[in-house]
Amino acid sequence: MILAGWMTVAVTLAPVWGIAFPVMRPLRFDAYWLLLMVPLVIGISVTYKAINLEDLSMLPRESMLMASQIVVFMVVAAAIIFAMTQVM
Amino acid sequence: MAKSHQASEVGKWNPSAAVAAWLVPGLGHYFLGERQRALVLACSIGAVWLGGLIIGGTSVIDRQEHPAWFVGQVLTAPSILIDLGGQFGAQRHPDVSPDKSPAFEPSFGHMYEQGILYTALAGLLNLLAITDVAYRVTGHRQPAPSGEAGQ
Repeated sequence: MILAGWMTVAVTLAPVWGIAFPVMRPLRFDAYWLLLMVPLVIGISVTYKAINLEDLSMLPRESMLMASQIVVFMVVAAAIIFAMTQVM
Repeated sequence: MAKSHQASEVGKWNPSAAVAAWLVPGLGHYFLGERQRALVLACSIGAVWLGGLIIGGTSVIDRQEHPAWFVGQVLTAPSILIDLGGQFGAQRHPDVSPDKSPAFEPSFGHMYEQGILYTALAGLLNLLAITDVAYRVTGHRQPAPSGEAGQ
């Protein structure tokens, strides 16, 4: 009942919320969607290293290293797949 | 004797911290006294999850549209609220098309896929944090074997 009440308030105020908060509308970023891989990789790296590192003072360096390794690996994998499908 | 001593050092089952970590990313570590780690996890997992919502809009969390992805998304509990809000809005205004309702604008194409990917990966990262916090030594990290620190 209480949840339904809160939901009613939320849905009623949704237009105001939509203007104030960007989550109600998707980004117009289709042309550069591949660039969205970078923040995702950084988020994955920071989370993984935050869980595994004993000393968090090493976190920025370790997570950036891991993120760059993932990006390099993905670029190399994409290049190999491109070569296999287009050149060969 | 040595075996039981070793077992007591390995870790402790923390179901309440695991539930807290599921409800709010990082909260489980906060309850165990690891506040810095909790802050980092809350920021990183929260940023990935919120990033997915900003990229694709709230329509990327929809258990009826894509139940398989929702399994990953639901590993962060706030996704349930987003899904409930979407379902409730659809029930309350079934005749309102997305064009007439500027509040809930669905996404398509790459933005939709990226939004789903971000929110589902945030859930999977939170699962990593939940499993870490569910069974660990309270207050400090387990000493890593030599040569494996930071791997």
